[in-house]
Amino acid sequence: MISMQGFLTGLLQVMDIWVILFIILGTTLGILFGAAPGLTASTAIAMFLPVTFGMQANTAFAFLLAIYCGGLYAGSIPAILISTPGAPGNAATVLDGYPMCQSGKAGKALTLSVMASCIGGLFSALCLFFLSPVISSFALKFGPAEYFAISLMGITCVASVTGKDTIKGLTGTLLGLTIAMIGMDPVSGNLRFTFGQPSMITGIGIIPVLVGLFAMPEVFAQTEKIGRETIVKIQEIKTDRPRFAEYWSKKTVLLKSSIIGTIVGAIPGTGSTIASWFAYNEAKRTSKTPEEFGKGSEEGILACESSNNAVTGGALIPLLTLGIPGDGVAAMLLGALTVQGLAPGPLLLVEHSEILSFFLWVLILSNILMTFMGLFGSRYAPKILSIPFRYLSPFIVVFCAIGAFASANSFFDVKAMIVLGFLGYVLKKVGFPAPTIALGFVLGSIVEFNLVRSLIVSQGSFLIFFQKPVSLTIIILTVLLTFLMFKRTKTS
Amino acid sequence: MKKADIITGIVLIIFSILGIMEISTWKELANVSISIKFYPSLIFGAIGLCGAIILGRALLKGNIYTVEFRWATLIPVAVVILLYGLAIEYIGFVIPTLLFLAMLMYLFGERRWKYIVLISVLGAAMLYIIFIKMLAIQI
Repeated sequence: MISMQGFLTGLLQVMDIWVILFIILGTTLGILFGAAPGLTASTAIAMFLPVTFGMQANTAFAFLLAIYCGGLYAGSIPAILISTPGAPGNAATVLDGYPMCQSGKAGKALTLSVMASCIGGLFSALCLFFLSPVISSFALKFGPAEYFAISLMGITCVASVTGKDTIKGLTGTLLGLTIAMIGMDPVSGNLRFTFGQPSMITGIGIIPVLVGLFAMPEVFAQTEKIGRETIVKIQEIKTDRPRFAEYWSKKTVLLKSSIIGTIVGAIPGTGSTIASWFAYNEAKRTSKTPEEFGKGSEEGILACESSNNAVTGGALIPLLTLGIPGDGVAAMLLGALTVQGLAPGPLLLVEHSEILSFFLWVLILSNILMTFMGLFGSRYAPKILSIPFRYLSPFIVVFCAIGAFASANSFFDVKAMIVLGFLGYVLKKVGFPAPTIALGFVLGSIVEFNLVRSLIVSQGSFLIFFQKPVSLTIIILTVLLTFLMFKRTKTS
Repeated sequence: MKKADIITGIVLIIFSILGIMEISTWKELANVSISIKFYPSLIFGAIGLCGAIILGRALLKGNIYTVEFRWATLIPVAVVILLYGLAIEYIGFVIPTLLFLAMLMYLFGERRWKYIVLISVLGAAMLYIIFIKMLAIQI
């Protein structure tokens, strides 16, 4: 457990004026980016990552976490108002949000969405706080075989659940692992795929890869719409005042969906898309009125949005306890932690126990702030949705270039980011989703290092992964989870 | 781009072969018990296998679909972005950024010069103040 001292230190750190200001700014930016057409929470974090390099660690994490919370929620705004999900995780919200909007209940749908997001977000923040120390102390006993098994779980999960095609998902992950191989071999020190370029000896940095894969493809994708822009006209919106009794009567859906979101988020390699579809299907299956789903069901919106935002805390659990990100955004937070000189993994919570309490308070504040902004700022949503991309795209590129450069003061990283951005766009077009490549890249060094170390220990025998109980359990879980997720994704 | 999976499958197989060819040129280290070629060969082999499955599926099951690229709008944007990436290294941040903002806005369809000039000048100034002056990034 986290000590009372660590808990209070975290609380005191959140009370800092700069931290509070950046939580407000981050939540606002997250909502703006999540709601703006063509942009997502991932894009926002990729863009603003360089801004955090000069900040103190606490301010930087508060800013990025606030963007994460606000961005995940705000993707539901275009999903409800114009039937276009702001992010893949909000796709299921379209099914019931848009019909509600068409029947003149846009305000009600937006209120349901923001309240459910807040409940899901707060639930997962508490799970992060209470579960992380347990997992972390357990993970301290892990050796290379166990770490390899967990990384393998991440790779197989991301491959089987992201996108429509498992083989392409797997190939995307393998391509990510390939990018991670560039540079020095983590075990022997041998130089690989550097082609005589000194800039490539240390490999391609995590920031250029993630910025290139998450933010740049959005810019290239928007070139398809040049000259084909449509003017979005949306009715005037007035959100409803939430009533406690209304949400209490739907507590089962909210609780179940928040649990699904947290668990799915905590599985390395998954994310909000899977969580929201799982929760939606589960809510429909157990609902007393399943016939209303797809026609404007309030339960449908509550299930999708609570599970979607519950991913925030869930995805941080493997990141903080094992050093393995739960989703693409967590992968960027891993980059931010590394830049700030912190090494995510089981020792992080031992050496910096206050960080968990700090994350808890930041997530609580961000979710509350997000709720107020969502309830009182929804009238401005039509204005956000009508921002022309031609003004945003040049700034996205400049932010990305600065971010790639600032991570290691290297122009090579800027060029690598641009090339990877273009490659990411082309690969996405032919069916290889960016999160598969990104997570493959992030997990690459962990997979290789622990695989080779395990084999050195076992003198080349693969039986080591099946002889250790924890490793064997994780491998069995991986097979089961992959099968289950593959089946459920196909059904969805 | 028609028959996207056929082309993708072929590209992946070629990529895999090139990777394995490169790996085969590496010299084994004397004091390492697990070959330095083991893990990279495993990954490139798996990529080749996935490429073969994608190709085979496209040929045998007729799993063929079309992917459209709008090259006419994509290429100019990609070239300008690449030039910007090169220019900031050799010319510096402010002038390339100012020109880049203006050019990209134009390529994305803005035709009102007042807007282009105003946003680029103010944008470049704002970015300069935030990143170069306040955050001291040495770009």
